[in-house]
Amino acid sequence: MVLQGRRSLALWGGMTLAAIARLLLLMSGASARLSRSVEIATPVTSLVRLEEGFWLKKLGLSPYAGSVYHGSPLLLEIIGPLGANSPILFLLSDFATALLIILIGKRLSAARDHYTHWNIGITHSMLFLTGETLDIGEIAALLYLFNPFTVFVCVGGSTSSFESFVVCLALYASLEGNAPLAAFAWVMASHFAMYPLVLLIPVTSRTFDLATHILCVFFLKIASALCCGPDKPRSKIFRLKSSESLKSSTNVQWQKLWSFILWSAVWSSCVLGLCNRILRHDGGLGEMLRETYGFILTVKDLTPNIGVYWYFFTEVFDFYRSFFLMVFHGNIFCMIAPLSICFYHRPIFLSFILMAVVSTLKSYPSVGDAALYLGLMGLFTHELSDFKYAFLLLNSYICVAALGPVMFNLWIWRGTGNANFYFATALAYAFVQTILIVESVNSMLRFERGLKLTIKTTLSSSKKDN
Amino acid sequence: MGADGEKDRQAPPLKGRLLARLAVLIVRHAALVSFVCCVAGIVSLMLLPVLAKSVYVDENALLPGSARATFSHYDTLKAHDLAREIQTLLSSSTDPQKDFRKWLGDRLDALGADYYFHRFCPPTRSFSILGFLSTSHTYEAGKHCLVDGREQTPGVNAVGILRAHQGDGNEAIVLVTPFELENLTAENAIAMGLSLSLLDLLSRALWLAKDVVWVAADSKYEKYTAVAAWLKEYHEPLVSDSSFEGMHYTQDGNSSRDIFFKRAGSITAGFVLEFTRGAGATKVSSLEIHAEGSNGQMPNMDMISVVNLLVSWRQQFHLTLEGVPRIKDWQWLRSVGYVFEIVGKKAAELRKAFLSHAKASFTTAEDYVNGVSVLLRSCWNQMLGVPTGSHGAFRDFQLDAVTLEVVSTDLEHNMDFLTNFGRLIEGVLRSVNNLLEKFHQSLFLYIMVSPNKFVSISTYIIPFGLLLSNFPIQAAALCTSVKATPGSWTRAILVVILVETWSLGNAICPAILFHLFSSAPTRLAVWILLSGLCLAPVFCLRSDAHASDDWYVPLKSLTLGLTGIALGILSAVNFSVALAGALLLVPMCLSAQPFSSSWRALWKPKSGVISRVNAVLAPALTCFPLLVVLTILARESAGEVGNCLITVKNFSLPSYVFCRSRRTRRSSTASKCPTSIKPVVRSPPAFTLAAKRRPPPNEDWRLGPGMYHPRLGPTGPAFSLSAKGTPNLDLEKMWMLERSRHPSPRGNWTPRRFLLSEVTPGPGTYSLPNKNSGPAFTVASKRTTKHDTDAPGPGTYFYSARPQSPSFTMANRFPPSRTCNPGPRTVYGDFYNTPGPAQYNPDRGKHIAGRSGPAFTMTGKWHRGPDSGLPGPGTYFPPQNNTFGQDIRCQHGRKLRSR
Repeated sequence: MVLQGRRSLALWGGMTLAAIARLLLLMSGASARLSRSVEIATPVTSLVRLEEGFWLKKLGLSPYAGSVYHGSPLLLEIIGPLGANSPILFLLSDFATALLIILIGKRLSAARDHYTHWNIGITHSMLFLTGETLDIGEIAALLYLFNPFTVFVCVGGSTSSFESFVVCLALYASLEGNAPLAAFAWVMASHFAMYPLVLLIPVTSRTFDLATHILCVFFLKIASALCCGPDKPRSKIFRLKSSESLKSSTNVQWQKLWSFILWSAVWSSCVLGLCNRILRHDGGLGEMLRETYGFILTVKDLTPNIGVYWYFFTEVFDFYRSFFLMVFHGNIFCMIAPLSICFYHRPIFLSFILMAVVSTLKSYPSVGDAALYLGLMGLFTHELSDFKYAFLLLNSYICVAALGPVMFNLWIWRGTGNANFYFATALAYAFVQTILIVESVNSMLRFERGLKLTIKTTLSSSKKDN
Repeated sequence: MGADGEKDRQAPPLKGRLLARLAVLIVRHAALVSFVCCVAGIVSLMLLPVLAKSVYVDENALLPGSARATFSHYDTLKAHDLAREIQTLLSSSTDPQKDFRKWLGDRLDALGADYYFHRFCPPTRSFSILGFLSTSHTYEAGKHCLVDGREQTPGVNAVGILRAHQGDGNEAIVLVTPFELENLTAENAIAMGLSLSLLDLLSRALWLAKDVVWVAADSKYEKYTAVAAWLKEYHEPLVSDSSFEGMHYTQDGNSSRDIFFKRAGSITAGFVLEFTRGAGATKVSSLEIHAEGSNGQMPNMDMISVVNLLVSWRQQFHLTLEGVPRIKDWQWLRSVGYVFEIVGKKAAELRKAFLSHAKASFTTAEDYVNGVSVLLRSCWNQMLGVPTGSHGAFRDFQLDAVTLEVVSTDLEHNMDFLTNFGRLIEGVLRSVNNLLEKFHQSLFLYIMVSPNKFVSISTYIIPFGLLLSNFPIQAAALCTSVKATPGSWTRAILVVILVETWSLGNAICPAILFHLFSSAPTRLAVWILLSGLCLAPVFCLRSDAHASDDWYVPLKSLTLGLTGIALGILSAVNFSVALAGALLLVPMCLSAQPFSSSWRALWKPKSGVISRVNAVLAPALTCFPLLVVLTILARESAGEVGNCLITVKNFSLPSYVFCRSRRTRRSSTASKCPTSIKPVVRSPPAFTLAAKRRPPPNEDWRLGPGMYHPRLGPTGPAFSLSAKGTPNLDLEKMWMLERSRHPSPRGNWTPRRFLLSEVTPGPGTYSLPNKNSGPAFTVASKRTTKHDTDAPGPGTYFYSARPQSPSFTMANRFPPSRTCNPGPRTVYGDFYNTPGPAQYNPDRGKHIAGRSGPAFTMTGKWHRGPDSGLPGPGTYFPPQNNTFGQDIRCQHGRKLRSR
């Protein structure tokens, strides 16, 4: 009971503190300063640009006129009328995201208990650390809320917090097995930011035996978290102990996949129809796609940011431009297949890794992307318990986060530095993220290996006993 | 650290790859390594004056001393006459302000210079919680200024602009002469006289290619304020009704044009001339250079090296830098100098022995002591962050300036000196006049050691790096020494976040106190009190297990990591603050450990020597910085010790390690030491990471020269990859940044009701209505279109919005061609889909024309004209490898891109 009390105190107290911190920053007028920072507002997510687009729209012009606004017309309709009050919406969406993360965490820990305790027959304490007061979801939610990146993005006028919400909604709905909602959230997320498209596989990740269906991964049988439920150990492990009761849990629920595909089609046609209606006087869908997806893919805006694109594409010759665009974007899509094969049984972990990859390699990254995947990382406190270089990574994130604005200042405002200073920071940031990804994947693989070993020994010892 | 001795004995043999083994070795002997690093760092710090390099002129275009100076005794005599005239005028006049202004106006008019008077008020500070994030001073002058609650007359700068004979009016050099009319000293009068006489000379100079702007800065409210106000108005025009009031105000006596603000291109460099009376009876006149700007920023080093080169070339007077005089009496420093001298001599002999042509040079003890004194003063000035003169205002606008201060006792009789000084200024101006592009070459990060020696960042970063390397080494040693339980890390992170938040609040404190209390001592007292209170919650954090290390190790290693990062980043912003911070924090952080365990280490019979020494040294070392800070505080006057926000933040970092490990009351005093720095008293806000020169916020931002470029689309490389663009571009960059961040105001740009023919038009002639959140980016949408009229207004014909309109333009058929003659990259947006210049591809023409004409002719092409001897049309073939043509194209492209 005392434990429960402390737990809810920690959770709700933490949430209140996070809200207070955001409100204080909002009231102190920090948003004017933060919205100017290139780390927070990208050309795609900037609220200032959104206001601009809304204003153009009100004038009867196309919101995309003058290459200012590059977001979705729906966001324009939702956030535009709010004007200066929109940070409140972002604050709410931050907390909704946190709640969703808590729910995702609940599902994950329930599944973990299910597979470790009931099905495979090994005790909880052998695998996982015990004795903490908070559930993993709650830890992750607090991590998400207190991450300075999240706070700054929320206050600083960027639509990324809204996008994070939709992404989390998609993950949660797919865990719940709610195909229409999952499809809706996935369509919306992809519509807002394009990159959540890569989450198709985690959202609909399959639980089939890999060896027999290796080809199907790529083509047809993309089953789903919808179909199989949350993260669990590899199905090979189940085969070690051939129990009939496990058969049901590893089965793919095909009709859910079909319904997901159906609903995605329905929702995307709805969204596109709506957009077309909004833009019916101005360039229609063609212009919208050109200015949103096209803008993201062709990297037209070379304003410095914490990504690796801008420096390269200011330097590159024009006739190599399209080639290198393909190379750079191809990087992301190259990662999807191997990672999906490796972690097909852990959709949430896969989406965490994919989001980190996207955040490293996307064309207009902001710290908002890092905020989301760092929050989700909290969900794997058990699996990643032997994460190496944690201290180093923590310090590097802090260092890069502080170094970026300083270098920008030296370059733009003081005039004593140059672009290389800032780009060096961007490179360091990419490097830190890469280490995070590699080390997460490594420790997850180590964890699975350990799991397998434990089960084998338990099985052999039980056989001996028999 | 305490248990190192024991651990070494039972350590397992090293395994793994070489790098890993090395890391393990370092971590295992962390105490030794960090001790060596500390000692090496401090020794190399002491060596800095020895390692200093000679100054050199980096920018070749400056060509210092390449022409003969024409300033003569005649001009000096004229300067004396003018000075006398000023003094008699002021002593005889009933209204000195008005008469002096009239006299100055007449003088400048006679030189053919444009002149005007710029009125300003000292900045009023408005209260805001995060003021240091967004404050921008306004110097707007009404009829009266409100200074400390009293009404006073505004300051009036007199500005004369000498238009260059050969220039195009795009660039300017600024000369500043501060003066104080109320109590004009003889030196001040001579400075004015000399400046006017110099202007006279320059008005006749044929070589002048840049305009010369002379600012007689009214230093009624500090010299810095006057120049800062003028520069701000120069770059960000003030548009408000009060400027009309001001016009009426000064209309009495003067013609109304005197008040119009005139400009002259972008400023290349600035020089501040000051004459002061030297202390004592020494007859030697000398010249001092001051260069430190706000937040420890230094001007381009070429500014100093040109002056130094011209001075040392003519050998006519003595160039000095400000030093700390007291240091010269320190015997121990002198003996250190002797040691370095002896070692240096030996090294020089050795070098001579092995390399026959090597120059044998060494630093003498005298040089060493002088170097240390100048270095310390320079570091101190950088650390305070308060500019050492009005040149600091220039640096806030990314311009380079130095103050040249003449210190003399009898200038009236020292004709030669004045003439030489005039020649020097002429030579320096001439050098700057030679510049072809923005002043960018050379160094910005350096510390002066003597007028002809400097320490660059590549040198001084070594001792700093050695000191700083202690933090990661110790953190790693701690992390590996104890296997911490997971809970302890979470606790440690929570504690660190808590303490950081408190210290941040503590750091913001002065900004708030500044508005609440008026007198400096009250502010200081309240701040110290609040700082003490701020630490209270830290004391309340009780640890569960005092004896075990598991709560203390994560906390300390986190703190070490954070402190190292903070100092490292700070060194890029303001090196001196970072260095001072490192010197204070390294001993504090390294020796901090729970008192309980250190006492145990002292009494335990088995503990090694290191841990015993450590136990004794830890309290001593932690008290030492406290003593140093207190002594400095006691000695310096209240106004001097300034604003070290980040330093303070850093100082408060390690304190909680003590607080948490407290057993006795003693440590509580130690933990207070970091915060007992005086509050901000002087003008510029402390070390915020934000830009110094900051375009003002939303409601009242204005335009400046070069800022009125109408193309606002943010696509395309808005940022040049180096800081090497023309100044106009830089301003545009800022402007675009600013513009893109602020939802801008709608609106009609209402023209000012000025007679434009009278004024340099300047961007400020258009005012911008305030407080609005319309779009900022397009030219088209600036005016509000009324939909009730049928006729489409300008800006409504956005072509993709009207797909039914005739679409036979090339724009609609083809995307901008990129295969042949790739045009500027900036024209990607739809609005710019029409092909730009140089984008026309003749091959595509036939598609448009519908393949009408025959592509091949049967007849031969006309080749040569008849032999009339005269070239006809088309006979002229430019050579294929003509670089001139390529140049043109290249430049064309660049210009387009920078649009």
